[in-house]
Amino acid sequence: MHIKIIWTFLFSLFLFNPLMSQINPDWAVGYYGAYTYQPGIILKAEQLFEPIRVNKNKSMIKPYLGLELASYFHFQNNAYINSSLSGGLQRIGKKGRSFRLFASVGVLRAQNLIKSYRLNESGQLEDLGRKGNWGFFPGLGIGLGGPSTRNRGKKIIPYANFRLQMQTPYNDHFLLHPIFEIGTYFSSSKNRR
Amino acid sequence: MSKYLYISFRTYIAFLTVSCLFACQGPIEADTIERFFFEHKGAKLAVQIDGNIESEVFVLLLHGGPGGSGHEYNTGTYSELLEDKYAMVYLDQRGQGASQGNYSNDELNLQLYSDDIAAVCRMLKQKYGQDISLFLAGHSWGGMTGSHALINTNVQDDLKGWMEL
Repeated sequence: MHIKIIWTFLFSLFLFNPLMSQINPDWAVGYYGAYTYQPGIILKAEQLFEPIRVNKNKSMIKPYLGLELASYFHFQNNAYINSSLSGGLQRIGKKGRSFRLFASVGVLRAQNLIKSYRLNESGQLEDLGRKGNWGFFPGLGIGLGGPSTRNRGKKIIPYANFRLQMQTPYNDHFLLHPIFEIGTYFSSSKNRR
Repeated sequence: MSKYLYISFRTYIAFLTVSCLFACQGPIEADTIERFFFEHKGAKLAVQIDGNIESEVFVLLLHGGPGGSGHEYNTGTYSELLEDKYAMVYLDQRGQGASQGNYSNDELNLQLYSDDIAAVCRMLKQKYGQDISLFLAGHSWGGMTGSHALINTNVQDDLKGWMEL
């Protein structure tokens, strides 16, 4: 339990670590909609690396790594916060338009917004307060838009992602969270050429 | 033509973003008295209580399925008529509806569902008083788990009646 708290805290802190400026990450903020309509917000810092492939038509494929911090509500019962490490491939066309394929791994805290009760060993009702539980939150996704050298002159770079995240353990198996994400990147000024 | 499409894409993205911000919808039902989780043997059972608690007559409704939810029974004319007179307890059984938890698949059997129902009945008596009149109403799968609970647990000691739908 304590290890999970430290893990989540370190991941979250890493997003705001001043040392991040040395690797010139691209920051992003966006709407994070579980099942599209359960509202939330995501904050990301990503580092795009050198291309692993450049095609004859000048399109290229670049890998990237990033850290994400997201939170959203399920109106009736829970609030969720998760911290993840994400990575994937971004295909940048010759006109600067991007397509992404990515995966993420992280931890999830599901915080109950309503109270929990239980009967103790002597049969008396105990008020457990607003409990929550930890879980793992891996996922896969695809997306449009993203930073690249071809659009680094722009201050705002819109993007849209669709991802399928898996919360586990959940009951005796897992729970899928389809998430629609839409937002914008703020390209690092040192990357604008 | 391409410039027109480029502008339209931005407009489309902006429209999607604004739509998402206003797409939020709260719970369909209104005037919910209480909603909470009840923990029992690794499961967190979602319980919602609507209606006339002052009547001290509680009807514990067991949903069908398996895979259903208590919310399916909490909309419509008949539920409002019942809630005017009684306190309706909509329970999401283990692994269904909004119920959560962490337990093994090997533990799942009918006896465990019956133990959950008996525990919920004891919980209602603890929470709202031993003098309340508690009725069990099971529909389809809920009728099966309710019947099993009546035969294989001591839940009959807590009940005034039973309805199988």
